[in-house]
Amino acid sequence: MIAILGPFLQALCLCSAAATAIGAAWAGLRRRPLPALRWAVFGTLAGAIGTVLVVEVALVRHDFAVAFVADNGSRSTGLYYTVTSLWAAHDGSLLLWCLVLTGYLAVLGCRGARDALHSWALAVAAAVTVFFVGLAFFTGGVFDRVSPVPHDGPGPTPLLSDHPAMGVHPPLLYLGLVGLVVPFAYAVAALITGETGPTWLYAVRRPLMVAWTALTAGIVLGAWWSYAVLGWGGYWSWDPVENASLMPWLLATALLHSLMVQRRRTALTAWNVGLAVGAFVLAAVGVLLTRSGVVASVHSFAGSGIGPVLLGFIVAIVVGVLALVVLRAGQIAPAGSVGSLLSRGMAVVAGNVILVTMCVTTLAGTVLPVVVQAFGGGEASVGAPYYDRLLLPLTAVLLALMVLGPVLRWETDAPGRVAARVVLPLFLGAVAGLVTRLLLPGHLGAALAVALAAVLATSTVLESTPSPRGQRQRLGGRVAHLGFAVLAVGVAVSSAGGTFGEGVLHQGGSTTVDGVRASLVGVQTRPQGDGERTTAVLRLSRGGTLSPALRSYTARQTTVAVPAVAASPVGDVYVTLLSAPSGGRSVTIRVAVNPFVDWVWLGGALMALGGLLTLRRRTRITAPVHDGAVDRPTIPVGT
Amino acid sequence: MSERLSTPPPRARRLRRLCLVALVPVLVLVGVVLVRANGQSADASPHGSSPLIGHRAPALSGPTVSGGQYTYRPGAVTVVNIWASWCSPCRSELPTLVRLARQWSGHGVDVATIDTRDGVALAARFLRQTGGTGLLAVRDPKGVLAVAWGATGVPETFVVDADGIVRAHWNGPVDPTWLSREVADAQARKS
Amino acid sequence: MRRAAVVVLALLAAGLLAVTLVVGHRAPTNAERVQHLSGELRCPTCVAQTVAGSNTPVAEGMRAEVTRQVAAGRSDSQILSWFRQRYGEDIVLMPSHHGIGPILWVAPGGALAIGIGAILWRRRRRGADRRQQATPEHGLPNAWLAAVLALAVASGVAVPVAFSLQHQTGAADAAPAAAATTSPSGSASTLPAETDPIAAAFELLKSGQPDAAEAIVRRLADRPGKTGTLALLVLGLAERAAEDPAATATLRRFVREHPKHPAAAQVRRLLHQ
Repeated sequence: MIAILGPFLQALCLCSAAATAIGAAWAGLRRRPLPALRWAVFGTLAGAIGTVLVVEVALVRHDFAVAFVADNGSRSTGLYYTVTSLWAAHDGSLLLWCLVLTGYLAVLGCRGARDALHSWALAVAAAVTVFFVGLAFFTGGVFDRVSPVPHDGPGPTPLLSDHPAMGVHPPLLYLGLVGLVVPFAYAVAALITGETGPTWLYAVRRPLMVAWTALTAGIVLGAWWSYAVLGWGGYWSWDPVENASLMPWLLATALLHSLMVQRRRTALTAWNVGLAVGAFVLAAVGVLLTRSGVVASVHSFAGSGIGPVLLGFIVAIVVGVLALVVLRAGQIAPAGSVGSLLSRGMAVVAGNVILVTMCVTTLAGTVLPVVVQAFGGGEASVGAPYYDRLLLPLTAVLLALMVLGPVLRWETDAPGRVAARVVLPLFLGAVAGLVTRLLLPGHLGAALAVALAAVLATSTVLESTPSPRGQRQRLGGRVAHLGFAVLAVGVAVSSAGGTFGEGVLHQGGSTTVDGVRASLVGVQTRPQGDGERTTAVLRLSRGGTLSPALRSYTARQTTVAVPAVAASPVGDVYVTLLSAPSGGRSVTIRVAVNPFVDWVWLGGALMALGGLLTLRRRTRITAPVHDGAVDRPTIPVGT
Repeated sequence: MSERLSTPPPRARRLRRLCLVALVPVLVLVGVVLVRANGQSADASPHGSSPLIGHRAPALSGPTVSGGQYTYRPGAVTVVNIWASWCSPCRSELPTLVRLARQWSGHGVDVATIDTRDGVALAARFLRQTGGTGLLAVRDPKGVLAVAWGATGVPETFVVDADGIVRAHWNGPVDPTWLSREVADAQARKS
Repeated sequence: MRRAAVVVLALLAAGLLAVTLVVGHRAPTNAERVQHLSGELRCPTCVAQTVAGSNTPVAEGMRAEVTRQVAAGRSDSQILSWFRQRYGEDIVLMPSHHGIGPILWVAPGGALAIGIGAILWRRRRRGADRRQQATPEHGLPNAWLAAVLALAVASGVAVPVAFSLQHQTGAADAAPAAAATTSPSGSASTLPAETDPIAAAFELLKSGQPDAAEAIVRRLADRPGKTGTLALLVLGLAERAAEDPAATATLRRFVREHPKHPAAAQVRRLLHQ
């Protein structure tokens, strides 16, 4: 039954998406609204929801006749992790991706096709949906039959079935990455209809903020999850999958700031269109990096079916958009001036340049080893040292721009006035820097970073605008900037002041790292699942106990370390059990002290909160809905 | 609907040129990946590709599993093998190595092994079980000797000629035919 | 704020900054040096991990060696070049200055330069653009739109088609070679030395020596690409023939990671007999 129902629902989704695309394009060409199109949109959503439901039901019921369940399900996995095992493998996570995509499509098209701009945006979004649903339908073997039907399956990978974040991080991340399709769709639509002015702007702002907020939260949650389970005490290792989510985030951040400039100054019109397209292209590049095996080796990329198809998708988008811009260059709304050299607009533009440079850096570091391998040059290794050396100075400049931006006036400003507004935060930041320097001798970079972050934090908190309404409006942005400052402090201090030590402990013995002594109280082993769990209980000199463990999985012949963390606002003590020979009374542990690392999570949460706060206020000016004729609406810009 | 203007304003012209220029690197990159990705056949051979080949052999000295002391000095062709008692392919490889060592002894070929990240008792028992009690095994409890030889795992085998230059490297359980041939080459090099 | 207060605060801030730059200099401790150097070295058997962040035996050995050399007083560059001599250039995570490495510096530098240049250039042209009129608004003629769509779709489809054509010609060349190596050889004691190790292992398996086969492919099972796939398959079959209890896990892993492989269906059948 499932073997028929599943593919049928997928086909329904695919056909509805195709119908939406064609119908919306037709509505755009005719410049007439088409409310009936919403049924095709709902059909797409229904198909996607149905597909996911069918697979989930099969997983929960342990229907091992279904290929996906046979490869990823297990009778010994709990309900929560059985449900989340849908996105523990590539085939299933593609279904989740399609579900989120159809969700955005449904929000976009819930009233059918409206004016020309909206119709074309809907058409483009639907075309993207057709691609991904088609990819899932034709290349995913989720609903294949398995015969003879196995009695049990291997279950999801241990690392993905041990921590509750598994149920939150991928959906949140997808909500962010997939959401970038909306600004992209509107950008292409704006090029087609020529409305690259205010209408496009107001249509894009809210979806972009939703996507940005979700992406920020998803990335930080992913870092926190890695920290909690991977056992080496770090949270970001610059691996291609992590970079794949960071690059679109950088461009999305740039876009949401430069849209502000376009709203106020009617400038950067072409730049914003390009940035919206770029953000989505990088999200697609991220999908390519994650799913095609290209970074593991170029050969696995070429051999896999999905890699070249994804590359073709990206090439099609880039070629198509470039061709559109070539044709429509004359129609892009003329841009006014951003402002003088010392103006808020210019600060945002400079910030954009920095963010794009960071994105280029990350892209180069991620893709270069692949290119080198394609040229047969053996392995090239790019890791944290490269990214740190390039991105840290750029982040410092960015922090400075974040201080100046909110302080500067839009048109132009005077250095004296700026100095007066900035000097108190500068002073407080210098104090913070000196304090850090004294507490963490030997790490000048960290001290300077903390100083800059403190300048930003105090400037954000102390900043005042004349009208209370202005204060309310900018609360979201201020909270987000404050969050970034907190994050910067966390990153700087935890990487500069983090220390670790390893040692073999016997019962009653202890090891000291950075003033924290951990003493071994006992070791216990008990069976868990299909293997066993060996726990070492340690008492900390600063109070409390930690119980890191080693969890073995007999069926998979692997052992996974489950680290234990004692968190505090000042720093974490992070203990990993490296080995505990059976029967012995000694263990090998690794103790890491990570100061201020929880500020990283706090900062990230504040940034996401700031994003949510900006969604509170409705966009005051909305694009009027036309009933056919398209003309350039006159909208008063700015207050 | 009118066609586009015959003389577009300068900004539009600039944008157009920019886009056409931007298109070129994209197509070049894709073309390059296409050509090179399928241009090569197999992955790199699993034989050794150690950067040490052609260079002086690293130091090798220390206490042995049987309780003695060993210091490597150039003079005879030496086969250096890295193993550990927790390594199951080593269990299959070691008897071969023992057999070859017996064959070569008296013909000017030494076999020196490194027992990396291991305990003495476990190593001694392993040697007993594989018939390698006569084999020279330098202890390397911290793994620094293996690192000095650029090893990424166990087992690995190096062939060092009589002048102390590394000549060959095999990553993994060694193929006895290959090893015999490399040792013969190294001996011929001497004379 | 009164001007005097601004100046005073600014001077104070500058003073504090100067003090920050000057004070607190201390040479890194040995432990810090070890940690820093371990972060600069790539773990050779891991994927995207530094020696500092990995617990594999190799990484632990490398950390022990770094500790020993730091204690012996060698400089950072001496220690890193010591590792380079033994593991190759790519053991150090900072990209090298020769080869294709410079692109990693040129690309961001170029982006930054282009960005700053664009800002300055726009400011000069600002006046000219403002004088420019908005062109009369009109939509894109349908023919052009269709042409753009066709161009995009064509270029998009061309990529996977080109890859699959290339792949087929490559596979056609490899097929006769593979057939040659998998044809039954003579005695099992002479392994085909320079040829495909997987084929050699498969031969050993067929001739009833699963342990030797297992020994060869165990290392290769984690390699990416076709080598790893086939090695994993042969490993599972070898373990099964040797009645190694790990066989089930290995074969399951093969099925999970390569569900579309031609052998996967048979392996599934094997697993559930």
